[in-house]
Amino acid sequence: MSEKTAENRNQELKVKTKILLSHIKDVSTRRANVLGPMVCFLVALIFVLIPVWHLAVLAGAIGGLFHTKMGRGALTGLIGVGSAWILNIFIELISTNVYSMIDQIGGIILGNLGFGWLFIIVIILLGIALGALGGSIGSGIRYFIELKKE
Amino acid sequence: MEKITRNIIIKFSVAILITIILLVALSIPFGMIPPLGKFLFPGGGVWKIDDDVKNKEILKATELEEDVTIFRDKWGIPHIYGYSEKDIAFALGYVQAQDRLFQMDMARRVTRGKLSEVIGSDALDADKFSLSKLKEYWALESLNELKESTDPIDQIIYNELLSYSAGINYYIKNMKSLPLEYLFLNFKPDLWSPVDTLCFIKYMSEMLSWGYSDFTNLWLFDSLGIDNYRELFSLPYQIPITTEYGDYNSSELLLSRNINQKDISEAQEKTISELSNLFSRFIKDVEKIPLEKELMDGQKFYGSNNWVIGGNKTVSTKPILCNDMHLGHDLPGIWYEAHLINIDPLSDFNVYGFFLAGVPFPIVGHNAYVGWGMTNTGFDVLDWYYYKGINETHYWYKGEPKEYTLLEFEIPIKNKEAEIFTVKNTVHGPVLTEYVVDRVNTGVAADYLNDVIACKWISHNVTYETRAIYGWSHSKNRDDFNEASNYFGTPAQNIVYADIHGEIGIRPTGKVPIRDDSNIPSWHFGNGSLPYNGSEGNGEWIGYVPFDFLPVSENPNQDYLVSANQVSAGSDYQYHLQHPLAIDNGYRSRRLNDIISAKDDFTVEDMKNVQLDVYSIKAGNLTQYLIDAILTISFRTDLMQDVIDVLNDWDYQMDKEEAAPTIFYVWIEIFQEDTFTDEMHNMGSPRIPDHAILEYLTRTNASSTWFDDINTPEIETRDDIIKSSFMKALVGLEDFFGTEDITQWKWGIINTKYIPHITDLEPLAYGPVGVNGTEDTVNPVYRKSIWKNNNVTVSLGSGGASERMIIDFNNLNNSVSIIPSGQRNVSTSKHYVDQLEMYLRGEYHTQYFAADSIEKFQDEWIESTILFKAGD
Repeated sequence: MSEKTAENRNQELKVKTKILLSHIKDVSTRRANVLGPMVCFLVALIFVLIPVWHLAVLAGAIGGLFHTKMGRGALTGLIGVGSAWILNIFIELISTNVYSMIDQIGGIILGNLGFGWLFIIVIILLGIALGALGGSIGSGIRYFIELKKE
Repeated sequence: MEKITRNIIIKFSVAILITIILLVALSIPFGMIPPLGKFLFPGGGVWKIDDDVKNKEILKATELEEDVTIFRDKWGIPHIYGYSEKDIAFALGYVQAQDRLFQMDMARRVTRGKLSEVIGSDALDADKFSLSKLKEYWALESLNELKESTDPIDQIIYNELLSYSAGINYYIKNMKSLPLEYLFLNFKPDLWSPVDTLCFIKYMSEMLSWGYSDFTNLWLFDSLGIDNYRELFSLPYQIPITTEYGDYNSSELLLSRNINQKDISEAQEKTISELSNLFSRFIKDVEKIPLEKELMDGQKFYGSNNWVIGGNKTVSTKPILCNDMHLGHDLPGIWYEAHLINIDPLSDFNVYGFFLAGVPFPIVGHNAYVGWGMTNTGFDVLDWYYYKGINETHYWYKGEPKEYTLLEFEIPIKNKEAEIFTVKNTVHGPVLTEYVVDRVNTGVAADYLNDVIACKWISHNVTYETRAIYGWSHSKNRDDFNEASNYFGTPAQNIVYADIHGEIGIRPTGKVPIRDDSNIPSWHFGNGSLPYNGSEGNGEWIGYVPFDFLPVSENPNQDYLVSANQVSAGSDYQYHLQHPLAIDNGYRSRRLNDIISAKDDFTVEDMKNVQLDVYSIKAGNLTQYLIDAILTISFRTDLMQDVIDVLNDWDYQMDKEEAAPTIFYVWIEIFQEDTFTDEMHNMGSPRIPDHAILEYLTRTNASSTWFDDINTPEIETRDDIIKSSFMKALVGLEDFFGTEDITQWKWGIINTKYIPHITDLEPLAYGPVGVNGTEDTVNPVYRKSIWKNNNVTVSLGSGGASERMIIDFNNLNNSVSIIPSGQRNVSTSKHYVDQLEMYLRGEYHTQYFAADSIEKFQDEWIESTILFKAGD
């Protein structure tokens, strides 16, 4: 009876440990899901202010380091860089006359005025693409680091 | 596990590859699209271009000796206060670069043949032709002379040029973002040097005195014969600019010799014809260069008005001086307004003027004592010579082989090796056919090896325009001003003058060559108005008309003086100065003389109305002939009667809201075409006579043979052509407007102004907008043909008064001005077209001239401030 009890306790402990570990992992993933885009957003914002546009990829990659799965990494970079660019563009659009200039640029390239909005969308999409690519590269790097540890 | 890892490696590699491709794609230009990464990335590129300057900037500059304060007023015009003119020049360089850097950069590149460096080999033709004109070469020579001069004023000017360049370079080195045009063209500006400034003056000389009128003149002479040439290209209705040399006699035609058709032998006619063919072939090759074609097209319209009214004709009893220089319009405009004040207690330097962006001295303007304005003289200062070539290295000159002298230039080309370009020179000047020869390789042009064409131009000299303009800015009276004018070489200008002492004057000024015409053939007009045989040594320049012998009028009895590019002096004047084809038809000067002679109580407000005057002398003198001819038509439709009624009620104002100007102008274009084109086309003439000749024939010779249509068996008279052209006009107008309601036929619908950006990028342009006036009204609008291929078309005129200035010598603070653009070349700036919109409404702005100290510049006038601190 006592042996059986001990075995049951052991089993119970294992289950509890598993639950705890799974919980910890969940917390860590959830934290990474939040932290990754936040850090990526902040770094992307700093890079926008520097400003060196190529570094958008690096910002995405930093966000991607929070994950080992490349899909999650890409999503992190996409959200982080994309939101940083959108915020910056929004502030510029409401505080300056830059939309008129972008509209004129649209006119120069496309031959007609009135396509400034299209250029804004293209710019945001470029930011999203650079962020996503950087994010997937970052998570790939994290995966290989983890693999080496194991 | 291994399979998972393999998948990750593949995904990772693909991500890296796509990233690299994207980064590269965003870093390279595609056609006219610049590298998009740098261009569009938030935080950089277009996002960082400042629409306008900061409200307040404090800057430090080691180049300055003392602090400088710059206030920009609500039109963005800088008022610069410094303790030395050298420091002021530095600050002027800075603000001009801040507002107009791209314009300045492109102007020097065009002049110095450096467009290929930023545009690529597409601009190589333009660069070679520009270098062939030797503008850069002679600008450098002029600068070297200035630098080496021991004259203290020359040294002051040289040091101001250096300081001005340092101001521009301070901006270039410290600017936070590049103007849009640089982002598009993907290059950065080089530092500025004083030779760039002198090149800019050569560029103005090119704009106003370079040309091919000798070729056109020869072609006209060859196709029409001397008698027809005399009749159709004489200059009726001229009122000389200067008043002391008698009346102008139009029959003299400004030819220095009397030539009779019967004295021209067949052999000579053959020679003339061969030469005409040579030069027309050459000009067709030259026209293939876009920049040169643009220059030639623009020159058809360049003109200006200036006038001065003495104290006996003003309410204030002090003079009023007015000037509006007519040039092609661009955004930004050619002129940059600035107010410069030396606040050193020992100085009274206080100048308001119109500057070329790139030059630290005001081309026109006023100080606290004197004021001046300019119009182009049309002086003949460019001669073309033809030679028999021997081979690549030699040509015939005065019976002997003569070796060409060579000048080498390096042309940097974008993405390519620099090219060495050699300009050959004869004893007279650069060989322009040599450039065309280069194009043989591309199969574009014929070989000119045996028929060499070179030119001698007044700008192929060391010239001292900066010294003249510096002198004007510092003049206190007429003597000072005249002494300074002596230095003005090119482009020759009618310089109008007035001062606070009550004196007025006008002086057509510039270096004008005297030629040795003793050995020219009997058919040659002489005086440089036709090409010369260079191999024979014809038309050598043997001197210049002495400054003291140039025509001048000072304080005339009539107490006013007017220039509008008409003939400089009457028949009593001894020299032939102007090229016959460079003289205006006289409509503007006639109108100005009419207005100003009629009144004795002018004010500044009156002067504004005169500058904006759109009364058409042409219409006033011709409309009645049109009406009278229509009235002879027995059966008149309602539309015809409506037209007669409108024309009868018309006050001859070319008002954009009225229909009468539309009817009149379409009709007169057809009348002109139908009168002359039949004969002239048959004769092979390059152009048809001006409206002034048409007016003259209409008023004086109703049965002139020119009115006959040679394509019909009948003999048409003036009234026949008036009626037929009127009927064509009605059909064309009805077609164009789609209605018989003539109140809809508004002049402003077909007479429009379109102002392009200097890059010709359409989204940066302004207009088209309907405007008052025509090319011949005092307030002019450069007009393109409104009758093409038997249809009415819209004219997109892109020129006219490039500035308007009225100086009141009773109270200089009452002086006003305006430019048809804005101060700043940033398309989203509030100062991009702010003045243009005022200009189109006929408004002016004050100059705040009385603010001759920092304290006097009131806070409410200040839009932005720059405090330049001297030292580290």
